[in-house]
Order: sequence, then C-alpha cells, then structure tokens
Amino acid sequence: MSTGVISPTPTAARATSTAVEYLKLTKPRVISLLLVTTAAAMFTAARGVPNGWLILWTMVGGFLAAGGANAINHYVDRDIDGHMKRTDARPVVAGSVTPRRALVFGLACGVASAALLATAANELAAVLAVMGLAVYVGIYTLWLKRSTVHNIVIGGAAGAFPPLVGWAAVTGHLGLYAWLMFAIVFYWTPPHFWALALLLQNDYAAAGVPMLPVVHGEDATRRQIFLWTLVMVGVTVLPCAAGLAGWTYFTGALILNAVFVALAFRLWRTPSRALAKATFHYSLLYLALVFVLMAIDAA
Amino acid sequence: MAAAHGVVGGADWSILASVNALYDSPLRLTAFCLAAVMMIPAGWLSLRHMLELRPTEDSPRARARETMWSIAPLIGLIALLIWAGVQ
Repeated sequence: MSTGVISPTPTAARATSTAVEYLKLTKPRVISLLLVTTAAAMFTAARGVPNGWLILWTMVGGFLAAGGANAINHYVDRDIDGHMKRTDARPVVAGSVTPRRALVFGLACGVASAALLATAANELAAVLAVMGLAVYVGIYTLWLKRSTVHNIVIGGAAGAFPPLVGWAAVTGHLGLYAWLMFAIVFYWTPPHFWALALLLQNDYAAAGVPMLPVVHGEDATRRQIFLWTLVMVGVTVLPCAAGLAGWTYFTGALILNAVFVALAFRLWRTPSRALAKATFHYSLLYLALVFVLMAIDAA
Repeated sequence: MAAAHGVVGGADWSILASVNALYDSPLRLTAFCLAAVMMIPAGWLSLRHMLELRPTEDSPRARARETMWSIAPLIGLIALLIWAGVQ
C-alpha cells in the first residue's frame, strides 16, 4: 500500500549524508557571525546598499575561505579533537570523512574562494580572504594554539579578516575604518574566547591545549576578561574619535558596551559558570550588533 | 600656498591641524578621551598581570617570547589611538 511519501534512494540518502558531513567541516555556525561582519563592512563602505550580486558573491567567497580554513583545522587537529567532548564527534574524528579528503576539501575551498572573489569582486578581496585562511591555519592552528596562552589573542587576527574582505570588495582598497573594524574583532576575541574557555577548560586540559584558564587558572582568566573588555570598549569608539562614525553608532555602542562591561565585571568578582556562559553568549550578539550599528550609522 | 599643504618653513603643521579638528568636534573629542581612558590603563594592567603570570622556571627565550606576545597588542592599541586622533 502506498503511503504517498517518496523515500529517497539509498544512493541519494548517502550523498546527502556525505554533503552534510562536508558542510560540518566548514563549521557553518561559526562562519555566520564572520559573514555578519563582512556584510556590515560592505554596507558601511558603500554608505548604503552595495550591489546585490557583489554582496552575494562576497558572502559565498567569504564562506569558502573561512570554511576551507575550518576544514584544514579539522585535519590538523584530528589528534586532539578526539580528547575533547566538544569536538569528538567531528567528521574526521568520527571517521565519516578521511583526513586526506578533509585537507583536500579545505584547500579546494580556499582556491575556489580566491578565484570567486578575484572574479566577482577584486584581487585585494581575494588576497585578504586567503590571508585570513593562512593566518588561521598557519599562525593559530599550527603554531600558537598548542604553544602559548596567547594563542587566541594573536590568532584572533584570523577572525578579523572578514570585515577587511567586505570593505575591500566594495572599495578596492583599505582605509582607517576598515582597520578599525579589524581591530574591533581582534580585541573582542580574547574576552569572547576566554569566556568559552572557562566553560571548556577540562576539555582543553585533556587535549593539552594551553588555554589561559588551563595554564594560569580561572581567577587570572576572569581578571583578563574584564581588562580586555575595557580595552575592547575603547577600540569600539575609535571610529567616532576618527570622525568616521556619528552619534547613532556612539550611543548604540555605549549601551552595548555597558552591558558587556557589567557582565565581565560580575564574572570577575563572582566566579560562576552561568555568568561565563552569559558573557560568551552576549559577546556573540554584541559583535553582530556593533557591526550592524556601524552599517546603520553610515547609511 | 605651502601653508595650505600643512608645511610652513620646513615644519609640518598638518598634524597640528588634525589635533585642532579633534578639539573642534565634541563627538570626536569625547570618543577619543573615552578610548584613551579605557584602553591605556586596562591595557597596561593586563600586560603587567600577564608578565607576573610568566612561570619563573621558563627559559629566558620562552619568557622573552611571552613578553613579545603580551606587548604586541598594546603597541597596536597605541598606533590605532594615534591614527584615529590625527584624522
């Protein structure tokens, strides 16, 4: 008796499952925030709405560059990912994608990103996207991640490239505002990542990754989160100091910063897993809103 | 004519003009002061704290490397502050 539902063939189901595993290699949830910063940089650079096709192709190119970097990260970190609960189900560790295929996929994504951005946007955007990939893989994953507590401070530069790509795609060059966007992401990364590290410190310890709470303890980490949050607040108002952003951005940024500082201060004074989680989640919303504010202010 | 380009008698006055522009805008001046007040003391305290945390048993080379990683973001901060201020 027919149920009226067409079951996928085994081949189609397998192809879908494989595609999902490759999509997982790109860490799409992490990339979504990076793409918000890219898009906001494009709107800010254009002082309005950029060409729709340019937005689309820059987003796709940015996704490929960041996704490629993440896939290569899965390949490089396959020896430690199995020791961490957060990462032990990743495709390479779980065996659903072979290490070699993950590496080839990552490199192919990087090449495709460069080709797409060079064709649809310009060479500078393509070079910056590849540089972001290279910093993430070469500086962060291969060099700093396992060797210093400053891993995510310096390595955080990798995550700061997407707004540069967006700005370059629209204007073909980089100005002070683009570098200030880079700096906002760079100085936002430590409080954001250390809040997460407080929650996952046992995982990092098991994998031998020298994250700040693993090496110097929770108290030192919470103090550093607070201090770096203050530094970040200063960086976020620099576009106004340079005369590049107006009162709309300044007022909105002050409100967003006040909440971040309050959370970081409470986390510093009151050791709490719930506060660390709240700080981490708020930091995600915060970065997206700061960039949206810049785009609104520039329109 | 030379003054219009910020150069008078061999001296470059364009930076002075930029600083004047900073004083002329309440938003720019407020934001600049806020940035300096937030970034410099917090950056300095963060640096001192990180330097205190360096294990004494580390080799001089390892300590120098950690110092470099601690100082580099602060240098970036000062550069950004100056760059934004002289626009």
